[in-house]
Amino acid sequence: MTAQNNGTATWALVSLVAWLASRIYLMEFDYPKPLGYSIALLTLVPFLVFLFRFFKAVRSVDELERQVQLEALALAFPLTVLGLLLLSLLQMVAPLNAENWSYRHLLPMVFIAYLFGLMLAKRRYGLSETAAEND
Amino acid sequence: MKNSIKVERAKKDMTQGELAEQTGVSRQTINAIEAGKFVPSTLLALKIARVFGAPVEAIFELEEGD
Repeated sequence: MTAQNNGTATWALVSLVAWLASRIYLMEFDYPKPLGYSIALLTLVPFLVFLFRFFKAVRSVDELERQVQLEALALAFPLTVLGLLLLSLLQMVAPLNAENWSYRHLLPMVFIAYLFGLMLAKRRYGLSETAAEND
Repeated sequence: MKNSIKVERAKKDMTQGELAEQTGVSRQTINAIEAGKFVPSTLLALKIARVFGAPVEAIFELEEGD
């Protein structure tokens, strides 16, 4: 994923900035509820563009890179579900502090799981920046 | 599955990068296939065989347990 990567990474960054900006605005300012809902929903737009570009990038790479992405996502999804299931049970044992266990705290779990899956898949197929030509 | 891509490349004095370019994949993909870490799709296997001018069965071989 090379040329496509630039656009995908840019939109990932735009999504993050939009989310942070929305979050700051919704926390710090007073606003009518319809505006609050609109801001929350509009924040999804750059992320939808990122998703579209990400899927387009994955379809454009060669089969090995596609396999790596597939395995990374195949690991990330169940790992995230596992984490959420665990938290849902722990919540019954001891109430989890909403300040520390809100949705925004769980979000990094998804990315960490994806990055972990990506690392494992790249290692499995011997992909690394320093992989020398086998001549 | 084992393959003789490295041998075939040596016969034609071809680098992994050159083979990758001719088959439309990355050099890392060719490297992974040669190392036996990745099984190519039928399409890619046929493309590789065509580059070497050999039947695909001459390049790729099933192993016991495959």
